[in-house]
Amino acid sequence: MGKHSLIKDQLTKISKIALIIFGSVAVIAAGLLVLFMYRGEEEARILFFLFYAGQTMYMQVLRIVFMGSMLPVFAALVILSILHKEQAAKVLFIISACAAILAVGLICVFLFMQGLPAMVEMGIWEFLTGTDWRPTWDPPRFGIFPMIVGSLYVTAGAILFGVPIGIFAAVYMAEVCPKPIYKVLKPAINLLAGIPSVIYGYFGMVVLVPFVRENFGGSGFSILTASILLGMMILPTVITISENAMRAVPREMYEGAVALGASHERAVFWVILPAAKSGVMAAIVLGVGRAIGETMAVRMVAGNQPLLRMPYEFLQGTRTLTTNVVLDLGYAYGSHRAALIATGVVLFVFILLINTLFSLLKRKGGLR
Amino acid sequence: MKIAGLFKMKRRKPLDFVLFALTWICIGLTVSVLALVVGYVLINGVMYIRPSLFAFQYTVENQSLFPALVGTLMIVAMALTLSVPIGVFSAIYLVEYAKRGSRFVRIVRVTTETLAGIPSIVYGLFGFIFFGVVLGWGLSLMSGAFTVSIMILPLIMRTTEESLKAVPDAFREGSFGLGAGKLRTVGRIVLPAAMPGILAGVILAIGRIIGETAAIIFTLGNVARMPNNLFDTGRTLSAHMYALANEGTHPGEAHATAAVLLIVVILINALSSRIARLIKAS
Repeated sequence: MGKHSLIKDQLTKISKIALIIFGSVAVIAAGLLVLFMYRGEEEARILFFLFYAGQTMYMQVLRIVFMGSMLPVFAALVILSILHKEQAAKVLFIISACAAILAVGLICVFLFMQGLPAMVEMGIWEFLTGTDWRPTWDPPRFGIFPMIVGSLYVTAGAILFGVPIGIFAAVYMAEVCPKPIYKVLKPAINLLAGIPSVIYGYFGMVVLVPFVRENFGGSGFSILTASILLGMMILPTVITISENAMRAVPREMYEGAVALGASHERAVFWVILPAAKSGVMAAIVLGVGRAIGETMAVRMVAGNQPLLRMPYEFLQGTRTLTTNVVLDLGYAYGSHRAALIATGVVLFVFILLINTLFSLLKRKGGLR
Repeated sequence: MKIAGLFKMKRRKPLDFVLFALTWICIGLTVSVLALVVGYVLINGVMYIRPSLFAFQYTVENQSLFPALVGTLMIVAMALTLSVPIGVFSAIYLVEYAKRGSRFVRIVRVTTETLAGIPSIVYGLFGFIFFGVVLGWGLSLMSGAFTVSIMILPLIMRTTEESLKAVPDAFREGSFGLGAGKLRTVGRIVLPAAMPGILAGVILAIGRIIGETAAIIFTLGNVARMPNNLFDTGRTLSAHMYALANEGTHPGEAHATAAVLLIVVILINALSSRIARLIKAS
């Protein structure tokens, strides 16, 4: 036992020292390499620098240093993780847990880094309140106010169609539905949530658009069509979360109401539903998030004209923040592309606000 | 006052009836939305499904969905390889190792929730900027798989966390009691017990990847051909569907592709809920 642990201690110590020395050499070499790549205005293939033939001798030397010092680092890591399985596993798990933080960090940094300077250059106020989206003009004009308004219209429309139906359906699921029917309905609503948005969009294009055209007039590619379609798409979200919220209401409240002489219906609508208020609000907020963020389905039915619409023009087409990005990103370059990324930043900020509101309401509603 | 109100209203039966009728109507509407979408797509699509739809190559005359199918499989495989270990490991950390409610856990929770709420077009934009332009991967399987793997990470983390929490503490205590270490307990006892739940989550994630379009077309691209290597562009089934619907020149193929896509999604959903039901039964 004693001799064994002595060797183990020695090995651990040596590997730790090697890890620190060679690790810092590798980090410095890698940092310098990346720096050189950016300075040299080459394409910065950061993860490729192992295979990337450097242009100058410095870079080649740095590359050899980096690769040479990575070998002992790996060897030390292997030895350490064999000797100390428990700690090594824990470190691995912690690093994995950091992945989500890293991902959010990268998304924020790169979206804002690429979007904000362009926004400032165009003038944040002009960008947000400008009503002209003319990327081909000289000079081009990028105003996303029509898209912000368009996003608000289709979202409001989606709430108008989706939320009342969703809440009543949730009441049915939580309080009315007999068990055998529930067993069929629950997977059906999950399936509704799982249908890809292109399928919804396609359905909207071949069914809803002609339907609106024939019954309400216009081309059919309109705010109204997009609202109906989005209303259908947010149904499962609203139903599932409201149902969970109603199930989270303590049963004693229902029993108390019934004991006081309220009918089942009365107890459900006057006691349980008000008690589940925060959770139902959370469901609506998440539905709003889904509706604002939806891209493909809206793009296929909303007509996509970047024009400022009035609410009574609901049979005209509109363009939303999401569709603005998806329509132009494929071919845009220069300031046009920067304006699209800035549009994405505005959308991202909207979503962050909505998410914050959602988690506040969720906590208040006692939902998991 | 509230109680008095309850008594008073009890006599007004018609309102009760109307409200309850409304719940029936609304659930009926919800189910009919599902029936309408699924029914329309399947009935109109199935008759266009022909063997030529699965020809090896996509040509102008024959809009084969086979290259898109291969692209979908590759993206799914790559994204799962990236995301499942990381998602499962981080869930293990959150449930088994971390102190409940510590600051690190809270931060991870908040970021995971944020990731879950980000719309796919923002992922597409980020993937386009970061993997495509900054890392120089362009439109490729690599960019696509990395982007989508970030997208499904919160889903895998949440389902794994829930199924780990569902494993009774007695399992852990028994294992510790027999002298097993933490790692062995997690690896040999807890993880196998939680496996069905994790699997159900992974299958849901597959469904999400297959249904994804906005994030795919700016990272993987939308070119109908077999990818030759990991840095080659391609398309997935839903991107293929999107392209066909927009071109509008091949309505038959569009119908058929929509039907195939929907069938795949329905199968995946059924599989996931079957596994979830098995867990509840056991």
